[in-house]
Amino acid sequence: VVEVARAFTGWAPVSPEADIERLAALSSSRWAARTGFVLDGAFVFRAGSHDAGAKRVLGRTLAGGRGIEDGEDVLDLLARHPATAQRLARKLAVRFVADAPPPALVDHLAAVWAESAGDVRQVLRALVAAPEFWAPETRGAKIKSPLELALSAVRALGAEVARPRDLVDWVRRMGQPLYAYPVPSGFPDDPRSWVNAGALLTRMRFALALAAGEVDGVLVNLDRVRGSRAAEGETAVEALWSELLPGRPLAEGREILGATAGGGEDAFRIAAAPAAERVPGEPRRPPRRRHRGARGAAAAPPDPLAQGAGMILGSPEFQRR
Amino acid sequence: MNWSRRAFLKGGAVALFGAGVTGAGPVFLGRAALAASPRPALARRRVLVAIFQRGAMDGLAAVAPLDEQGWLTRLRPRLALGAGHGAQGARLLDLGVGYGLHPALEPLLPFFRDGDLAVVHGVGSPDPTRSHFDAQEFMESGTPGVRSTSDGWLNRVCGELGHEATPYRAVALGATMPRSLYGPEPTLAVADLAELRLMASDRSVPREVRGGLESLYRRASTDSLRGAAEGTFEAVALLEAVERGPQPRPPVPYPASPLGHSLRQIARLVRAGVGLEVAFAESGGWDTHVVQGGDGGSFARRASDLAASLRAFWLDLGEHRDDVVVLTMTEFGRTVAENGSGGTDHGHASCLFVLGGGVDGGRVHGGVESLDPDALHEGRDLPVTVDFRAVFAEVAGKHLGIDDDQTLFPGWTGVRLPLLRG
Repeated sequence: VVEVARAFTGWAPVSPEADIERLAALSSSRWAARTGFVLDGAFVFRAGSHDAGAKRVLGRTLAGGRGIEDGEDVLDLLARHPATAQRLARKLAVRFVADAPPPALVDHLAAVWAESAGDVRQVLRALVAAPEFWAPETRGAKIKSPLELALSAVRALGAEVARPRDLVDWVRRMGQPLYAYPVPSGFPDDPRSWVNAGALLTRMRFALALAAGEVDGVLVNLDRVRGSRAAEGETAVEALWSELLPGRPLAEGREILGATAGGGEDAFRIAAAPAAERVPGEPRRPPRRRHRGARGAAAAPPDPLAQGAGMILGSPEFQRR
Repeated sequence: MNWSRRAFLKGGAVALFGAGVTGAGPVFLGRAALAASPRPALARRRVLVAIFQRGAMDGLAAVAPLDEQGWLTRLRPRLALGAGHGAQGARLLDLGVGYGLHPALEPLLPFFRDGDLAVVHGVGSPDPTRSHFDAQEFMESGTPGVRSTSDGWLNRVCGELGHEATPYRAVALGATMPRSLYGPEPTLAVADLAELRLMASDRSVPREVRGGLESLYRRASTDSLRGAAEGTFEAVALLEAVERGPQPRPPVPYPASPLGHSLRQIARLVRAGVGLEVAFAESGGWDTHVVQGGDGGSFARRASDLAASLRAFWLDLGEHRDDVVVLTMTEFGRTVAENGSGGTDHGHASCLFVLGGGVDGGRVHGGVESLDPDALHEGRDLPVTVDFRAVFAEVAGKHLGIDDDQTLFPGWTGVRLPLLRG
């Protein structure tokens, strides 16, 4: 670690406040050539701050008396190291296929990585072309992270995020405090950290709140669903099922949603009717949370379509991707 | 998954789930049944409360060896506190056993004097890593140096308890499940019990919606989601019991900190008698690289929060104190010498606290031999003289009645450090 750190002495990220044009002008000046100042993308290198002694990294000796080449060599060494190919191949397979990806797939991707000298496009093409990617047992095998769940739910409802603050807070409460993971490794791509009795509860509550228009700053318009689909002979909630869970048989949805709605399917058919009373296209106003208690029994009866949508978004199927 | 429904709901109250499936009638009959019956007939359980101090607590700042004051003042001139009596606030509190407690930990002093609080010093992992990530991983999996362990040591503890579980058996206060609780035994991570309350309220979630979701999950293929959801719905159903748990009179004030909030809720679960046996709380901010401070500063603030939260928790427990043992832990200690920024860097051994009625308290177990740099680990850190597993196995094992150290800590061949009586 110390040797690698030494190789990168003199390297620094360009701060967001820095004057890029001034830095660019500086890097092409004679002063830069003389002092070894380099601007490369988002990084600067200052030879004056570089430890020019010899270093030993991954069994290779980096000769002394050099500058930016030290760091570049370390990057090359790492990029070509077989462990890098294995590690990245595995991470991609975990990300896109399954939590425990087939070893043959990982080996295949690592081989493509090595052959293509680390061309990520080729590795991804190989990933998508692999039979494992399309295998039925890996479809929906991954549990969405809280961020993925929140975004997919917002998209599924065609909702508009006017102010993300409350949405981001839900993501935090579901277990993913954005930009605040305590250790540098980043959020784990591991369902064990997302799935437990408490987290699932928060996910269901999020789904219900979002569909009911109670996530502050997110404008949900279920009339879009009502208007476009109810006319085609499906109930609005059936339309939602087809729309939000494509590929899942509608019969299954009918059975589950119908059986659990208290009054059966008819509840949803009736529910579709009052939509006309509302001005089409006008988003439901999210009730302010702190008033909810005071509204009490006088509150308008909950919208069954919103409840149905909430159930679909809170369903086990929607937690998968 | 084998939730103990019978432990709570006898006779007709088993309608808890049945009604949800058919869609006929109220789903959460269980709540009514609980409300009508006397307190759930559940055996009183012993509880282990683990507090992880993330970031590596400076054990020498928390509990300083008085014989080594010379080295401390020389190696950390801006951090070391004086011993003995003198200027107020800036002095170590003499524990009477050759060690001085940081003044910010003063709320814990009475527990030490009463013999309920023990300190274990020189404790840490045999693995030399100075990476927070690796060290926390190894401490939580309970297998230093072995990355392939998939479960956490506290989950293995649950696996050895050998009696029926409730959804509240292992609870982590926080939005994510800590590594210590990963594993096959069901666990619950919840940042705030209010989350459960909102789901249980008919006003915020109509019961047919709750029932619908429940049956959606029951129909899901047998997998992690279904198992977790089972715990979710049962925990919600049992919330009444938590809510009706006896409240302390008058209510105990806790610090307005995440740790204070977590411990308040753990106390509530203990008092409610809903089957809590393993609780986990987090205390962050111990990575004091910069301006760690002496009697003030970042260390003192964290220490003050820890001590005040623990004190409030202990008072809040009341008669349940006999059932509970608190164990603190931190991934490693910090350098003996201060750094150029008035802080300390990643080191090796630290200290930890064990609080409970059966604890051999009022003592410092293990200990600090010498802070002479020649005697230090790699010339800079307090050496590890007590393997953390010797403490964890003793506390969890003796308090919860688990004999099999090999299951708790695979590959460990050491012996327990005697800390608990009986």
